[in-house]
Amino acid sequence: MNEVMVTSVTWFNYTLTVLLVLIGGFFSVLAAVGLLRMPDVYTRMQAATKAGTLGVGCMVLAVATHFVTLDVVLESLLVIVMLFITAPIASHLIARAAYFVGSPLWDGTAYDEMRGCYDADSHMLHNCPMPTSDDSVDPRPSLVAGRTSREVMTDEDDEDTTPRRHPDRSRSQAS
Amino acid sequence: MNASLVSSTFAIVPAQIETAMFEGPIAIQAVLLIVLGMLALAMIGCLVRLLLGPTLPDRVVALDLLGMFAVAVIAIFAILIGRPVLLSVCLIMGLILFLGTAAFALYLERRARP
Repeated sequence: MNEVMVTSVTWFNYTLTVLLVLIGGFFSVLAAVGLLRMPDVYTRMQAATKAGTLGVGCMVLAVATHFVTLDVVLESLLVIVMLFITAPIASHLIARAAYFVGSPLWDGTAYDEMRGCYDADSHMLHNCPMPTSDDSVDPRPSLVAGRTSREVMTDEDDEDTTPRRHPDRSRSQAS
Repeated sequence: MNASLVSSTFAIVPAQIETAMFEGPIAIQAVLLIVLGMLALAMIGCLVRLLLGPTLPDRVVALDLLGMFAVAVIAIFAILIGRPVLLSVCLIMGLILFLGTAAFALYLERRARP
């Protein structure tokens, strides 16, 4: 079974395969760690999508460098292109749905660009107003449960409102 | 039970294993098995997030990443058993994964509508 004629070209291919597979495994483990450790739906999603896509793409490219025939290379490139097109679209769809459902942002989130852009009654996105420090009227009534005290950071009021970047500190303040 | 019957019955098993053995040099096989172990660890992490994700979009993200790791496992097996036909399985599985994730996202958006 192992009596294939081993030339320098095949050794180059084997080394490339091993390197790509190891890089892919490393990034896959990194994606799982990011999925486990990130504090938020959106941060979890960006960790999973970017690192996972890179890991799976490296492994499919390793298939192409192992069998160096034309059809296998073309098919693996097709798989990689399809993966790189569909994965950002899927993560964008889930992020949009998660924001509409109202899954909570991390307590240390400094700035929410879509705050006030989503009308919960008509289920439409309209043009965003400029961020103001007026928090008396919250334009997102369906999403404010439990996190009404989150501030939109502007340049004017950075003396009195300290940005809450640490989750444990904000949790101890809340309790 | 007759001893010869037992031996003749279980003598089939090593022959099946020998025909299904892996191909390629031993070093590549060892690296591929190690990477399969790493993928198993990553899939266990995804399963933990899938089971205790606080909201439904968390579970959808975990399911998406789990399917992508399944695509990676199929690619590793294509190298390991020396059959590049399995790349077609990767292609179809990625497409079905995208369709499933898009369907989940549309379902979530429709449920958010009052």
